[in-house]
Amino acid sequence: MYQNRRRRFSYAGVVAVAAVAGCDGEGLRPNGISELQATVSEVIPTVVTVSWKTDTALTGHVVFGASGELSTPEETVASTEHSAILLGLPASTDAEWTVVMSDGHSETGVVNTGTLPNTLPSVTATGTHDEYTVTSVLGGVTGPAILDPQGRFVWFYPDSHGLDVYRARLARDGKSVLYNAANVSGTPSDSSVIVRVSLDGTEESEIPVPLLAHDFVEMEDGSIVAMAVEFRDAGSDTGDTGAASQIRGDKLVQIAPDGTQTDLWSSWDCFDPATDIGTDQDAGWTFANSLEYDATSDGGSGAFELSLRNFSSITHIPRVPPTSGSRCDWTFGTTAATVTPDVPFLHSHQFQLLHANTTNDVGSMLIFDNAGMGNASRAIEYSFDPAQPVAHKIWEYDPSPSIFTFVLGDVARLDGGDTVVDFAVSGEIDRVTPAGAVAWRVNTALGYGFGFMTQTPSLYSSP
Amino acid sequence: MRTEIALGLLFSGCSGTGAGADSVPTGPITLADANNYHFSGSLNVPVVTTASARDVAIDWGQVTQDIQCHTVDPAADIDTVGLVRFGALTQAQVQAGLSSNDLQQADMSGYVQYQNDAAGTSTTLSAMSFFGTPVDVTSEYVQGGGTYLLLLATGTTPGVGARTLAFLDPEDASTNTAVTVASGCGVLQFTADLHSLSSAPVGADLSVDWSGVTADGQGNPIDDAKIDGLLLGYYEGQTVADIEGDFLNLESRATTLYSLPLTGGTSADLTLATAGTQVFTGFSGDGLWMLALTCSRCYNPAPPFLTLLTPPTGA
Repeated sequence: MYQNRRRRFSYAGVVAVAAVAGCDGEGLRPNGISELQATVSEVIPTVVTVSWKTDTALTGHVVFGASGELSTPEETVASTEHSAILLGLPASTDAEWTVVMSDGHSETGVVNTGTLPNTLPSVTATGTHDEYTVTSVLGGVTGPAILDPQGRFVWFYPDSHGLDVYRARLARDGKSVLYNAANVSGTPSDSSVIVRVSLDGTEESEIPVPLLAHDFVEMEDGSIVAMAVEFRDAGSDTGDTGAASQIRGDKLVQIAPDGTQTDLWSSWDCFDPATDIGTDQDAGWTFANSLEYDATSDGGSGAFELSLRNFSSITHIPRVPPTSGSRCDWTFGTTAATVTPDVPFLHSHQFQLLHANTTNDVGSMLIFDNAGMGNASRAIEYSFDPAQPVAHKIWEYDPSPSIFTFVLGDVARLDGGDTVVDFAVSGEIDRVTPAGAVAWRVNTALGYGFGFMTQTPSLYSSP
Repeated sequence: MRTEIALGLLFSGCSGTGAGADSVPTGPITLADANNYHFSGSLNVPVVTTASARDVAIDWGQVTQDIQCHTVDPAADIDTVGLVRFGALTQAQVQAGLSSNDLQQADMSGYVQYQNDAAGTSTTLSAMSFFGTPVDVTSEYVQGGGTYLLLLATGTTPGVGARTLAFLDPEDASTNTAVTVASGCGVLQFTADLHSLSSAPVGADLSVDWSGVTADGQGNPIDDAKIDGLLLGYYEGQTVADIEGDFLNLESRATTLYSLPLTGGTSADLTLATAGTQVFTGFSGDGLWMLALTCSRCYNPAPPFLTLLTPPTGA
């Protein structure tokens, strides 16, 4: 019977790399595990990379956490050289980890994670939760971030583009986080980018996408579809300047893994600025503000669903353009709507079409409603059938005291029926039961908010 | 009182006699709650009543001092003018929350700002926006709509660098559409007690550890995550009463003031602190040594932690 060995790895302020092999002069130990190293990331000091070697080709994984509650995935290819990234650890914590090999041998160590930047907001958490929140921080500091179920920051990467980060997503490669750095405050930025940063923060790459807006999605093939602003001449003369006035619409841009960019859709494909007129036209015509890719829609061929702030509508854009008829086969909301809600929502942000089956879009629509109640925001759910002219409200959640989230906002229905409501720039995220009871809540200190969010039970699960 | 006597001795140059200062540490300077000063302060934010649901002109040309009574150039130093609306808090609750630094973002029900890129001294409510969304004055700035707090700040980072503030109070009966922001000196009322603290003994180790500190100078739980600076001041020929009496000029009174930005954690190496190009190398002189942990993102400018240090005899 081989014995577990316990080694201590320390964080010394910048980076700690401690090699076990050779420490006691034994080299390869009887359990066949050697050259153990635990490296705390210099960039994201809550991320630890454990590497080791074995004398025979094996697979393995690492169990870690305060009580061994976390685990990296089992390696898929047997090898004599191994590496695993520990994700989900809070800052300034002694974390025990155990390398577990497929032959049953194991080795244990302890590592102390470093401190995250003190520019991050203080977060208070109450209640219980069992998911990680992948989001971004806005305000005094901006960048993609991950909160653990206890409401602690376990991952944060400070963005350096001088723009805002509205959306962060775990990438499908399992090795990185994707986020946008953009500006939707007034004039959109020509310098906006989609950024990919490795989980340990040591590698960053970016793809310039001018005029990026709030949101993007990553497709199954690794391409990215992002919202961007599109300006077109209105075709009229403004008089004094002699220049044609411009209309601010939106488009969807697909970015292939090699960086090639293709316009997939434009506001003008579905709507007419002369007849489809929403609110706040001074700020833009359609003003898209959130995006979802619905892989199960259209019988599995997939569709994009796009929220248009100034229309207070959500439009459905099949991935495969129809051979005839409108490029948008249904629009739910107010302006240009084919389906209207019995209780209106206003300036909605994120939403979720909850399919009742896999053959059509019948089910329910869960929406973050910024201003449907005036200066108070809520999550609202409608029974939804695109073939029916009216959708009826079946559920809503209004926090008490009320919160007015004037920008951004997100919702997600969890498998067990609870709903996570992200009040975004208001710095509060609530998990609520179907009865509206708050099961979990996090709040930031004044001056900080969150961007959009996704919920995931594991940081190792594929999106 | 024993502590006062002990500190009095300390301030006259006799080191190592204060409570907690009777032993020279062999390790880092270890700070605890007993070493912290007591600060009681409140904000008395002026209120300006204006017309409701109408655009309002805001002029800050008279803001020549901030709430710490430090000089302000209203054109050059005010970079951001922000208007925060608290939907469910009264003015008194907002004042108390600002003073204790425990307001939450969710307390806020709206925020718009104006970037003073042109170095002017005036703007209007209708010129303010946030994330591209302008304020609709007729519906968003109304009597009964909440508590409206106007913040004038240096820098463009939300929540950082507030120099002065005022409540705007829209009332249907008012016809006033011009707000003149007053100078900030006097907004902050405070008393600082440095007599009651136990000075912290210093040994040969020039590092400091505050992991044992649990409360700030107001008795609230200390939030280590908010600590982003360390000040180490030397005060030649000054008494503790001098510093208490002119507490808001703590920095300018120092004979030498070393500073050290902090990025997190609960310890620091004092030899990394600098005063201009001068690096701190150790304690010397007969004057007072003061160490403060600061929070640049707190609306209350009082340091969360401040203590006096007792250098080893002969230092």
